[in-house]
Amino acid sequence: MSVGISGAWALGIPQIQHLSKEDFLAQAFADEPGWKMLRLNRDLKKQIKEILSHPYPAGRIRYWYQGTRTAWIIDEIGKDQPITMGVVVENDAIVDIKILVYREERGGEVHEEYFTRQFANVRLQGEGLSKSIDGITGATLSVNAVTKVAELALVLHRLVQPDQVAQH
Amino acid sequence: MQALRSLALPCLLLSGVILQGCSSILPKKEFVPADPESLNEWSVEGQVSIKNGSGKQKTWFEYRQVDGEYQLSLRPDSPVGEAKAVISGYEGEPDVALEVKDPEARELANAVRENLPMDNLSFWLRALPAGGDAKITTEEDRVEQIKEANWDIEYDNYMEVGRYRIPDKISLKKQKTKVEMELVRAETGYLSTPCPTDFDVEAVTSHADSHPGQHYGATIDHLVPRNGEAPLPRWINDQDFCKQLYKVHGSIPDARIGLYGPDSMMWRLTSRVTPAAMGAGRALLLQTAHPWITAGIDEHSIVRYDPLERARRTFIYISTIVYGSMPQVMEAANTVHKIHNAIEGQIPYQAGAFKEGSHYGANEVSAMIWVSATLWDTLAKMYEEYEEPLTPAEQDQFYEEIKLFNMIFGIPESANPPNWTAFEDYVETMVHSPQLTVTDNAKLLKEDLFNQGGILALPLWVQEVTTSINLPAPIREQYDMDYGLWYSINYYGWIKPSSKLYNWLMPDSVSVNPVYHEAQARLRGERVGWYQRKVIEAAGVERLVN
Repeated sequence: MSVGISGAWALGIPQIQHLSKEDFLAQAFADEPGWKMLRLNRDLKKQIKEILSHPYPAGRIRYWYQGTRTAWIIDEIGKDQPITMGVVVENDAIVDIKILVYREERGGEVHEEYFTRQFANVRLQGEGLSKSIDGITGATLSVNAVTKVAELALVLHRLVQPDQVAQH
Repeated sequence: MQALRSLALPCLLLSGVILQGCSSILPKKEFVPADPESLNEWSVEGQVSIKNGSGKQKTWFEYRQVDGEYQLSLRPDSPVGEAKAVISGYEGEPDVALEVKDPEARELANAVRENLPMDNLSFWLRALPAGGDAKITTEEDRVEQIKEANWDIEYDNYMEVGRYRIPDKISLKKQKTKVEMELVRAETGYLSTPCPTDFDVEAVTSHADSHPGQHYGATIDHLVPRNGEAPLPRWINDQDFCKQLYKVHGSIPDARIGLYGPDSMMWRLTSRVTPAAMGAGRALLLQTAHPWITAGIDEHSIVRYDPLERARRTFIYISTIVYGSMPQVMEAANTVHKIHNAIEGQIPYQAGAFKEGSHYGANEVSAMIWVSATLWDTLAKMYEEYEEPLTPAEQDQFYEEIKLFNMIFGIPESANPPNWTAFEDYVETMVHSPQLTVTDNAKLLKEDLFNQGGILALPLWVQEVTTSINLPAPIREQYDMDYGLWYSINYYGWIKPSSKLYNWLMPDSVSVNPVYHEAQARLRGERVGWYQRKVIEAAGVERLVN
């Protein structure tokens, strides 16, 4: 209703592409990686829903791999728009996490290295991450989205690992 | 008359030049699509032709998928209307069911079922591989080719729909079978429900009233208390909002038409560009006369430093709600609701009926009814000024449609003034109430708006004159706006006559809102014409309601 109040955010929101998918994968792997689709069965969907606090919209997730390293590109809503994130995992620990595309008006600081480097070497522990992630004032929802995706990538990595180890 | 009509072509060309100017003022935003893998509810429609050793078949179709289950509806005679046959199944699975509604379509339906790769189509339509063995060729993040399951799929072009980039020209080949698909439009969400799919529907549809102790009185007294105090706030939470969306969703018979459609007063009054354009300043200043609106703008909006961008976004949302299909309307409504959720704070100073330090928020019934009223009261006034008077029956119909518009923002029908007469009384009462108090910040906003300089100086001066003439006197005086003989001479001497002349001279393709054309094209199952596409692109999006 928005001539007066709104419209201040929304369509035409800045869509900042920090890194293309190709560049992210090139940084994540020494050589061109293989890729596979992980089908989400009912149990896995339930587990993912617990992590994200909402159902994952698709029936599968694509991932890239080389040796025991995997990379995941996942969209997760921050406040209103999807943030595209890339997570690299090896030996059950996060190697790197990058914000590929940020689409919200505020909270874009999550792409800064001072925030993303907190995730290096983070593992699953109990029902969460092995390390508490420091938030950013004014970017709480974006920080939550990145943290959830980090946990999700670790869970998914663990699921596909035996598969990869068997092949390499 | 012929001579005047002959001016139309040069004027059309001039409009093209102006359009180019607009394009440079509002450059197209870089589009970074979201992953189509995350589409859970989506549809595409267009034409498919299948050629193989036994002949050629061609049909219009709609492919619709919700939560993995798809329906491919075939319409051999027309891009819209009732399907003659429906093929259904689950993505990735080979089993399909065929329902033939017209025996004459049986041969076509069998050909489609046998020749189209139904198990993988869900993925290939989104330029996604169906499995892990696909060979994918990409160019600048766009898939150009997928080779999979002995099929060779090529993507020639893409369309930008919402957050997504969807292929609109697909060629599939396998041995002697060649399939060509040309897609016209797509939907990317809100097909099965008006709220997010993870919303607790039961909670929304079962709870009766989330404001115990408050009642949605439909009287002007409630909206504008006689004692001059601010109305009791009635906040709209997520459940209140979604409850209204469900009511609207359930009452619209054809999702393709959307909220209103070609027979509506809303489409009629918004279709001509002139009334809305000439009323923009009036509507805005009536809004910013409400201290909540000015406080919201001061603390949350880009309007002060980027008014054009602000106008662009407003155009996009209002146009989508008025002209969009139901999924498009619901997506816009949900987005605006989320935006409004974040707009809240405290009034930093005493302003008329509102005390210093009192809480304000965008998702509040009385404030939203006022914002809505400024839009539609202004539009009706300017339509009567520039087009033709409305009959009482037309006013009543228009007002019923305004109430529907308000429900899209979570305002219950009973909270509105009940009819057009009451609505006019409400606007008049507000204009004279201390709820409308023009603050220093509102005056500053007015100055910023009308004094931009550069190439916008003249159009904004015209807008200032038009606004001053048409604003209610108490509000104009509060803004300290010039008003007198000089403004009257300009307005009645050339601004109004030339605007009416423009309307008369210009062909409908120019003088009618391009989004109206786009909506009409959607109803025909077509893509809108090139001129309207260019105008819409000037607003920064490839398509709005197509």
